[in-house]
Amino acid sequence: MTFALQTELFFRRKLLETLRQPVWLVTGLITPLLYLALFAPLLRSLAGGPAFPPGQVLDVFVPGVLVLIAFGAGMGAGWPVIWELDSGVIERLRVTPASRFALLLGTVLRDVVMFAVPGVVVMAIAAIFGFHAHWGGLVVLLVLLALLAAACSATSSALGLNLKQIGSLAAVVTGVQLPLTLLSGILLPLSLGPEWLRVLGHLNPMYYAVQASRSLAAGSVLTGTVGLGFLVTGAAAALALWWGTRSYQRAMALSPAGTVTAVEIMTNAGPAHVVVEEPAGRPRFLAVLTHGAGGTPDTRDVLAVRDAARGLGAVTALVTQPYRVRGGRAPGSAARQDAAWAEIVTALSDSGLPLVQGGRSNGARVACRTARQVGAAGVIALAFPLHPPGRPGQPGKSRDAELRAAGTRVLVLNGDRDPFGIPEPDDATRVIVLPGETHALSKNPAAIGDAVARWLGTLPGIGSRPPSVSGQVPPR
Amino acid sequence: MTDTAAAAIQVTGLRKTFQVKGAPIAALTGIDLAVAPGEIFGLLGPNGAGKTTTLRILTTLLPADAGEALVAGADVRREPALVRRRIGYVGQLGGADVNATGRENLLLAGRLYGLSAAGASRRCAELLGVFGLGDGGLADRSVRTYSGGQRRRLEVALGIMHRPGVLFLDEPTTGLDPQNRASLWDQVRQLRDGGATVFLTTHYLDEADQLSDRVAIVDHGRVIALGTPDELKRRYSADTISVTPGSGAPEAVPMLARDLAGELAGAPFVDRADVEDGAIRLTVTDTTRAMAAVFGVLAARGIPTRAASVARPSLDDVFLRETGRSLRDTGEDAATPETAEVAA
Repeated sequence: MTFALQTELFFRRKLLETLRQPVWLVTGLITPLLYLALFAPLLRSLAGGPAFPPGQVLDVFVPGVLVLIAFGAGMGAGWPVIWELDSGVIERLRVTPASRFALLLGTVLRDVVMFAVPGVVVMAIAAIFGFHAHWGGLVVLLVLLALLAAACSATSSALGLNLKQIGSLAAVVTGVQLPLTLLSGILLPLSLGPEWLRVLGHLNPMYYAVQASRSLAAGSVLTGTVGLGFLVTGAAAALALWWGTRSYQRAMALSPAGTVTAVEIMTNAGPAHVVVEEPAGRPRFLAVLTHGAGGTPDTRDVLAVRDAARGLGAVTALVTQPYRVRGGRAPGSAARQDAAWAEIVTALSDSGLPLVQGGRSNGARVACRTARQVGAAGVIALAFPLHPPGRPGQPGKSRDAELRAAGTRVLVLNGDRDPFGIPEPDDATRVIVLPGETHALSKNPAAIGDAVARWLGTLPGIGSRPPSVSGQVPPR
Repeated sequence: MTDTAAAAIQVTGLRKTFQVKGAPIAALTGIDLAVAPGEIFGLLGPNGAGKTTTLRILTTLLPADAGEALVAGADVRREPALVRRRIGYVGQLGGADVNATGRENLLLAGRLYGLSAAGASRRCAELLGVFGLGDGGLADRSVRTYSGGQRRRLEVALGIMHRPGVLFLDEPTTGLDPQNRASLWDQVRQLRDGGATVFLTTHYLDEADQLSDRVAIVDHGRVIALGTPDELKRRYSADTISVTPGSGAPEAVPMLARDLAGELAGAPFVDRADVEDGAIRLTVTDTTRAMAAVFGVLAARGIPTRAASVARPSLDDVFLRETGRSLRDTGEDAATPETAEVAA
């Protein structure tokens, strides 16, 4: 199995994929033609000015449009890459003997073709409307811009493989696209601008490709400008191909639900077991949840809270407290339990995300008692045990003081048949009594999830969504 | 059971730590296992236990931090290219290219593994037949139009185009309906009968139990039990009896159950007595005598029985025994915690 054959196989696969979506072929041609038809006429009035020798407006403008085509053909590569990452195609191909460089090169070569075809068409049409074609120079120009398309394609693939998300890729590509094109003098030569603009332009690798293109289109092949253009573009292509190959060597999809990891956190009371789930996107807050005395953190009510938090973009952590890891059923001294809890939450919350903590029954009490110490933005108390079952009203025995002393916003969810009692409406920020539920809160997890999601939405720093990156339509 | 030299997969002391938000998080804390040639080996565990991480290390997708792994006679760290040539991999995400047809997917896979154009085409026709994808022009339709079951079958076919000696399947039946699940199990068994070694991960108890010849149960990045499903169940568990006492006041049931469990815990044929969701749960060595004793205790106190059942052990009991947690997401921990809390 040779490298060349692998490259050919991947190239054919990518080309076929493009040909099956003819809409991209059409837009790939129409955009440059629109520039020629709708923008070039504006330049006619500039003819005779410093950058535009009389009668040669198109000679200056067409090379710029060709650079634009090469850039656009290459920069679209990242979008399908993310899609292939998400659907497992890349992971599967990574376990075959296929060369990672061949995998990258298949896409790069397809994008070179996707530049060359519209490029030649645009040259031919422009020639009809007065573009002075120097054919020898144009052949060299095609080679130079093929290198540029390759550099853009490999860069875009690498960005896709590393960013892994359409939104992030769109933000980066749009963010880079405009300064890169404006500072290269694609539409109008930078020589028209002030000194500082020209200096900035020299820092932009694409500037050299544009300069070389104008020189080549004018028929001057053996010039320093052309040499510099090839040097800079070639170096950029080599760097991008190296980065792209390296990215393919390590590419790993974000799993659809983000990543799940089981961790052990050491506390003074012994190890705690924590299952951490990270969202696929940027996390917005941290939700740390735990079990009741003698229980496990995978009860329906706790899982409903976790799912609600995850739906709002939380990193979630389900904690099995040290006394349970040891096999104990009772939490023992509250002071010791609270100290261990604070250690666990501190270990988890070094990311600086807003913190919400909660638990069921005895876990709800820990969450309330430690809320102030760990700086929680909110507490979710499930089945808060107001008093021992069936023994309400003993003076001094009620635990409503723990709720009231939490020092932060507290949501209480109790069943109306809970023998451990139901907190009063003014014991917490919000008290929701669920009809038909007992202390187990196991009958209607969906109701718990809904209530929690709504309440989390009211918390400062969590409810107010930051402005999302406006999704750009993929250029291909 | 498995001779080191002859093992299809030999894993020693595999460790992996991820950096999550800048903090090191141990995903694997030392995995040891050996898989014999020609067996179906199941890795069972809850989400986050380290199953997929293990599989990704064995398939060269992820480097391990420490430990040795030999797969199909090649070292995963030192000879990844050789490992890739000898194994097949069907990931959790699937990996079929939905923009291409089923046939194009298979042909590309075959050629990447070095089959000639004619050889790939022959093997493709063969697999389309085996996996029931050859009828009605399905093979030449875009994979986008396939049903979930058809797509999964294609993905397994993609993994065995080159007749690998060792096949890795990551959660192969997740999301499949019972019928497609059963037919996939059959195909996996046929692969094994054809001489291939199959290594699969699953969080389904029945898949580990019925499909796997041997099972490793993993939790928190380590193997907590290893053996044939029958061995494990016998070694780690026994029959369980579950009895729910009746009573006038429902909130009194947990207390009552706890008292009764305490009374029965001392009996010689009772291994362990727990209270779960208002029911007494006994792990017993002699089911008949234990059953009689339970009813005796209830009758002596004049308490009616609301429900009673006997359960044979499952792999979940093995997991429960080792970790104190259940693999099933049943989430019924109602009575136990609170009785304990009252006691506290």
